[in-house]
Amino acid sequence: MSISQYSEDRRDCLQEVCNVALGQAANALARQFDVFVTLPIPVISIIAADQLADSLAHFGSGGQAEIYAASQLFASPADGCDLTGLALVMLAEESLNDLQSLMPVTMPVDELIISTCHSMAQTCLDALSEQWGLGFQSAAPALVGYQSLRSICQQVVKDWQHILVVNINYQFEGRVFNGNLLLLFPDQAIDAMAQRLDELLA
Amino acid sequence: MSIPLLICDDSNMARKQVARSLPAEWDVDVTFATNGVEGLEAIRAGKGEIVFLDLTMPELDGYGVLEAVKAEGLKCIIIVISADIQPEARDRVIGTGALEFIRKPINAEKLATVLQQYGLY
Repeated sequence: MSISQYSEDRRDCLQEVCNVALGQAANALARQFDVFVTLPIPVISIIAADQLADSLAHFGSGGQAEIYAASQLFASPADGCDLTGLALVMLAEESLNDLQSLMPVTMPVDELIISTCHSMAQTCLDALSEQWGLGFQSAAPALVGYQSLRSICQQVVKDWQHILVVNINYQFEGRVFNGNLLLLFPDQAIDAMAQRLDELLA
Repeated sequence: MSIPLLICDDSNMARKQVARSLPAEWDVDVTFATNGVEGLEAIRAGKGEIVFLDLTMPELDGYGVLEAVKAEGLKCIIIVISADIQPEARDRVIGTGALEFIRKPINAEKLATVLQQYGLY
């Protein structure tokens, strides 16, 4: 499976649905940190599941800075949990330092990551599920050390063949902060999502 | 005579959503543009007396279009339709000459309210 097998209409529709969702997430971030968030164009791709670890390694290759991550599984009972996935928030150390400097008082790093993850991922998932009429239920975000990211991703995705990846890069205008939200959808979710998108396109 | 109306958005679905939300009896001649560069060309060619403009677009974004329209003194009424619901985004586009800001996803009711509010329809 490749993105070319996902029709252009579906890809366009998914991008627009994500655009609306990340607009709400960006607004949550802007309010949380009193900044202006530059809205990105979400990047959609379909990869073989065994390529994921390599794709993630790419995020750490930019510098020596440590990468912090939080992951969150989500699913909706409304469709029998077909449209399920994993949200992964990735923040470089310099981005965390930037967030820290925006806080009135220094926050424990774990708390800062989790609260940022809430704006970046949860708000986005809520907006997505609202558009799809699904009501995603998400697990609480869990902190993931970058070194263990590979193994955790391999654990989660080990039964997946393909992954549809939505990569959303949030940046704060005039600041260092640069964080990524990856939404990872496995095989059956790719099909289930196609149905939701076709309903929106109808 | 029909009003030249331009819908400028990189998403095909978003362009269709706007087109479908137009009041049925509104006498407009619709042109579509898929990024800011195309949009600006259409405005220069007189195809956008009224413009529905997205913000996040490749090539040239909506802010770039607004600035170019202002710099070139092009005559058009621009209504921004965007998912960027940050209050500052709204302030910026209004400050750069947009008439109004409408949140995505658009629907016919929202659009009709804004058009009536400004006597455009």
